[in-house]
Amino acid sequence: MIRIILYWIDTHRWFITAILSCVVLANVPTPEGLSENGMDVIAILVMSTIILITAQVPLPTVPLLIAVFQVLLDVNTPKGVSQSFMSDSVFFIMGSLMLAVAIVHQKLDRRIAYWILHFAKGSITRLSTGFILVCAIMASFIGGLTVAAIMLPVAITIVINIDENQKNIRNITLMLMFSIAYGCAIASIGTPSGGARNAVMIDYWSRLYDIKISYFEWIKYAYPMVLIQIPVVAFLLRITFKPEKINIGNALDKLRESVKAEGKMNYADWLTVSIFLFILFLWVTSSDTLGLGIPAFIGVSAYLAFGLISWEEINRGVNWGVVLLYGSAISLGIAMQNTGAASWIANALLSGFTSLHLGGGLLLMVIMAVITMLVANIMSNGPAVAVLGPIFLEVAVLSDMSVILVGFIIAMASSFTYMTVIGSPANTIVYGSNFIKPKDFFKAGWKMSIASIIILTLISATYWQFLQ
Amino acid sequence: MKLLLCIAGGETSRDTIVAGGKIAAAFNTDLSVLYVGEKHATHMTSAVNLSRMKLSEWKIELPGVKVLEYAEMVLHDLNLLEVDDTGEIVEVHSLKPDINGAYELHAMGKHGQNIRLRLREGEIIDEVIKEVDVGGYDVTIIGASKERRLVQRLIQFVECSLFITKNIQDIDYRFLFAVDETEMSRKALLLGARTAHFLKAEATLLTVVSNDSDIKSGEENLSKAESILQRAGIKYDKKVMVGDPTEIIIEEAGEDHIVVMGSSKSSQLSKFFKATKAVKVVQDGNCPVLIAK
Repeated sequence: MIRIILYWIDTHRWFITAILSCVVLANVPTPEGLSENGMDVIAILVMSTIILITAQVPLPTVPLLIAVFQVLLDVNTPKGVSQSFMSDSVFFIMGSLMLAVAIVHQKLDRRIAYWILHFAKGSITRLSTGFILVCAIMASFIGGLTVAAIMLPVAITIVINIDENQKNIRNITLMLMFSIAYGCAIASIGTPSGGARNAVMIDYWSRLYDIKISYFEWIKYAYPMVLIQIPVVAFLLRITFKPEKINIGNALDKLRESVKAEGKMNYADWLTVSIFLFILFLWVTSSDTLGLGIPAFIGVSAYLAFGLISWEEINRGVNWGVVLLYGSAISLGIAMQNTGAASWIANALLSGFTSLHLGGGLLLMVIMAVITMLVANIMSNGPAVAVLGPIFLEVAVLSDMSVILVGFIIAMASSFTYMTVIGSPANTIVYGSNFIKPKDFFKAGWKMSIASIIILTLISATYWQFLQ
Repeated sequence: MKLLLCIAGGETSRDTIVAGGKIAAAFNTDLSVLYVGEKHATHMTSAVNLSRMKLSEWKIELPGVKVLEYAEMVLHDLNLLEVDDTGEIVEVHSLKPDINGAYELHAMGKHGQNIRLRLREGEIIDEVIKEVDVGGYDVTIIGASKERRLVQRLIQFVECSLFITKNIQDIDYRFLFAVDETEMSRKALLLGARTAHFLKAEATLLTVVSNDSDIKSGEENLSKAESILQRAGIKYDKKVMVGDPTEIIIEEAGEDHIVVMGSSKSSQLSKFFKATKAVKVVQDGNCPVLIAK
């Protein structure tokens, strides 16, 4: 018996630490300027962060505990907590995840493979660029998770066709794998549907600051960043993983003929694309009236009604824990705002920055971008926005910066997850191929991180000022 | 007897697979080869599953399957697996998911033994513990970790005897039996003697006492142990030494002995907080160690 107890303690030591931290913090004297409930919310935030980083219990435990502790610590009522968990953004996240599963289940990948091989014309650089282009364009609308899942088998098949022994073409392999991972990463901020964290940011603006950003407005701010980064990724991957000098033309031609022989797009493929384009149309033209979640639900209903996917397949493919996680993130964000916890932390951060002569303006934005990027690499992009969003938005208010611009900075920097496996679902999928080692992420990742921070700084100092 | 052989990869684990395969062949026993793939964060599970669905559509094997295929090839080369008239390996079933929490390929051994190739995903120690719980193994063969905490967890929480293949080489090992008065030491002797007998190895009986006045009791321990080795027909020499047991065992073992010792008699709580002799020998020594439980 004692062995079982000790084993549980051993395998849950960080979870126990997290719960104890929450209980202790909720009971220590409250610092000056912070309300008691504010301290309670900080205690919940600390607990959630420890559990998210250490992952000793299934992640959906975090949203459940956020709800439980808000009620136990008297931060909110059961009714208030449940209401704060649900919003249009959560509908949108739910709908987008279901759409992603529906799209992955179609056979579009063969056609996409054909287009990329056609575009490559036997050149490894063009092949890599083709992957980046396709990933970037698709992932900006349907999310990196979906696109990475679709594109990984295509890349592996190409690699195997070029040479069965990966040791002979290690750099080519890495170049293609990272074309997918980084293509998806840079694209995920292009539109609100590119990543669930974008929807969280839209919700923070709307529910904390009463600022409405439509689907199209988001694109106006964010898409240029996607387009600028496409050639940057292609260039940096080319110089980091110098491809082996071998002739890949024959292998690509052979593969192209093989995927071509498997047929053109069929009725189901066309219907899938048409339904998605219709949803996109609704998002762009009617998000003011329909919101973002309802068009996604229309799309999912259509996929189900036309038999393009079954409910069982959706149920298997959607991680409902992720939906809960984002719901809880929004709920915690609202609690941080309502109790003054966000404002207190923001004040403390700001006085810290000021004492280091870093307060205010562009430099502060860059610092927030770098912190978001580092946290996103450690705890993955979604939770990073959830934890840092309410605090940095409050920093913006206190230092007279634009809440919209700072919100975009956080959302964009959270996509700079180039250095770790767990930074984004696309990284995890590509890493799961067993072709990449964790240290490979750093080889190109640090260069991409610097380049992306520079591009973001330039865009926020020029183009975004013009939009304001 | 049922053996569990844990491997960390394909070619990198060749020596471990060969060692495990030889022991399984010598004992003519059931053997499961376990490979533990990377753990995915819970919120990435659906993404990974979707990716695997697409990979299977393109007829690309699951990551990890290649490792099992390599292990199967090595066991085949050791002439451990039954083959049909065409030279194909006889399989009870091909790779299937969800067999006691793992992907499993079940092949037949030359003498009707069950040879299972199993793929789990998660933290290595946790998965080995789960595997031992569902498989009812007698001995787990596993490589050594550089982290003391992992070694300590493995020795404390895996509920069967352990053969830790640290610095395993393709040489004729001698067995070094570290003997004391405990019941676990006697169990270790029995298990080690059987192994040494099957592998036709020679042995050294070693007992370490803390001071000169204890030499006599040390010799008594050795004489009990001798009868076991004699019955097993193993050639041996014997030593009684004074000093720190861990240091002496490590020094005597060098790189060409397999150390055989019992697990500690300390309480679970004590083992949880303090490294036992077995942990120290595995951690600081540079040879394989067989720990009986």
